Amino acid sequence: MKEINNKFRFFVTVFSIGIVFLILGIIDSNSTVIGFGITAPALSLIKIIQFASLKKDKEKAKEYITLLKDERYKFINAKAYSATFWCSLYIEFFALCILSLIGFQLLASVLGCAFSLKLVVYLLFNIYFSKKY
Amino acid sequence: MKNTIANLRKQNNMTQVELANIVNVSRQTIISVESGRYNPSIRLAYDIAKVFNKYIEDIFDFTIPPEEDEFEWKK
Repeated sequence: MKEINNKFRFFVTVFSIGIVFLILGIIDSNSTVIGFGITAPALSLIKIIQFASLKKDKEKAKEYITLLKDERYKFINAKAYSATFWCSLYIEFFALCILSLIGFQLLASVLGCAFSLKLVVYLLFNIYFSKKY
Repeated sequence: MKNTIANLRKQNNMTQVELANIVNVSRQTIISVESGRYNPSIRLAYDIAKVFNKYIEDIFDFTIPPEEDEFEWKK
């Protein structure tokens, strides 16, 4: 139940921060900030409703907590993270190639830096975990 | 990995939900393990074996199928 309460508080915090961003975005007429101010509260509201209903239903709460600790669930999440990481690398690589070909050199450079940094961080983590395990 | 969990469960009149609750995993995990789509950790395999009072090797088939020799086609 503690995990559910923590998640509930987390999403209430995200919701509140989102509302603040929305207000600031409206005051500043900044569409990016307004966009974040709409998306964050909207998504966190769904989670708030989910966790509020879990707090009332102990059976479902127990099922949810079991699922969080379930090894297959963690295995699937790890696979999804890994697949997303490699897909994003490929997408960034092709994007920077295309951007440099069509003349957006600055954007291509920025993307290239982000791409290279990701690879370096990946290698460092790989070395670290190889030594640890 | 092939296993006999489904048969053992039926012999003991146990549902997937009951087995899942005993070993503290979700029903989806039990379904995936029974169908061989997911290989359980050694801890989970041990817990399942303990439920049926068997050894891990009696439940799970550790026979590794002979893999194709990647250089076979060159011979």
